[in-house]
Amino acid sequence: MDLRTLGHGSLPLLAGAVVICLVAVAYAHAAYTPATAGHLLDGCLEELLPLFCGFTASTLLAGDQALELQASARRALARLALVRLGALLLLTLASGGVVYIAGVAGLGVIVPRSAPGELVLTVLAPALLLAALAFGASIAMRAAPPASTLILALVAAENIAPGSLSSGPLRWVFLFATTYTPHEPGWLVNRLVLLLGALALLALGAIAASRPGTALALAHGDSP
Amino acid sequence: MNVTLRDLTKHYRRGVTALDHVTLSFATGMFGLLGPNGAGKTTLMRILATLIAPTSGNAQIGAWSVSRRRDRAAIRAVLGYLPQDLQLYPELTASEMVDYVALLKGVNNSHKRRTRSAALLDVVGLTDVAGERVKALSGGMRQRVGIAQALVNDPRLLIVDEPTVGLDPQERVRFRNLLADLARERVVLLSTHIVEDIAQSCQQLAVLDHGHVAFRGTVAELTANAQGCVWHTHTQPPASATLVASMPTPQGTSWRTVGPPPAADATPAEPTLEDGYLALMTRKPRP
Repeated sequence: MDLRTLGHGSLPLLAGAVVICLVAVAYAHAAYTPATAGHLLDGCLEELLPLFCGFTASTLLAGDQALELQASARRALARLALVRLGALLLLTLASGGVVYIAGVAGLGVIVPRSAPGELVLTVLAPALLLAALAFGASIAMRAAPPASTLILALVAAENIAPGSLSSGPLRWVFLFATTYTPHEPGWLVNRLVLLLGALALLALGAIAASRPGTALALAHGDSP
Repeated sequence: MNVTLRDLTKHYRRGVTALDHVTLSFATGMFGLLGPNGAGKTTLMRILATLIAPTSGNAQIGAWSVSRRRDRAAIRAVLGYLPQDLQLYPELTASEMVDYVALLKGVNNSHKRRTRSAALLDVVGLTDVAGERVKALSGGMRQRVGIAQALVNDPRLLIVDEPTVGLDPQERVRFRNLLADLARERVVLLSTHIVEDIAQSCQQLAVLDHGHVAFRGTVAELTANAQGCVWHTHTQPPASATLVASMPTPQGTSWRTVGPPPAADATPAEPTLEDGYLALMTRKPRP
């Protein structure tokens, strides 16, 4: 029932993201080479779907009007957030699966990292990091829109300057390694660093969510 | 169970003091909380509901303190809470909403939850619409769902903030009687602007004003506060008088005021709790 309390607001957004991915990959496949279409497919899996995940994660608690009731009950708010986040990640991965199967099996698109584990990490690592960042930011800033803006700015920055952000020490936290540097030897380490960073951010977010006053601030914009 | 507040103070970030060294205690039974907007009633209730932490002082609920982290979970286990700005999940049905809150409150047995939800929806007169989604219910019905969810864990401390808002007069009386019934074996803290609700259901009450306790006593004592200063007159009272009511009558308009006699023809009237409250608030110098 926790998931039903989230409402259906994010489903049209997800459906829209999947449709955009499918149309873009189909167009690239028709107009360019399968490898170029594969590059675009990786971009969809690694950028567009995780961005959706991040946007939705900013509303996991912020904006939940019934949070005052939730916070007055025994169960920790962090648990509610984690259940919702888990469902959101599964939905994102399932959408990634649909896009991948349509692109590779349906159109014959070629992607550089096609092992099942690599595909999961391609979607999961940036999705979890953006979701954790958006979740933490929404609690820190007491609202979802600034948190969404923050992750949008991050995604934009990584696409504007991928060359400088995917080299040097920053390469370990570069979100889109599969899209821009798929053959670099540190790809797996990059994915693991992103996942660990996301877990650390989630832990901080969960601690912040459990503080008295947070629920009211998120539900009503109060400032305790 | 006893609830004891000692020097409870709450400052908000922008320099607003919602509660200023509030000391109060109350026990099993119905305790009323009156006061104007911004008096600190909701802040006090949110502290007791462990939703916000006091800046200083302490609130003790039974053996538990709201300031101790491990006690907060114990308090929530015995707490029923109906917030002033009640928000429910629109996609759930009335029955699911109550069932969900029961789950949040630790009732893990689904059969027990369903039985309890059905019984409570019956108590608040919503059995017929138990399967309707919350978004399809009227404001009064949603308020009744809120009342049902507050009772779902059979709380020992029931905090209800403006519970009769949106209820029609019949529902209000019914709810008042339900609260009075519940208060026989638990602490019920009732905050309301509707003085009549307090007059009809509480023995003890406190009046908060600008974060201070302006009065603590019985309904009869607050009513007696206005003894000798409630008047009826047919002469237009001066603007300085505290006007309680004006009523058109065959003899012309009749005014009821609290304070010094408003006119030469004024006759004394029997005070009500509302008069006592107004007399208290008009006499008290504002900080």
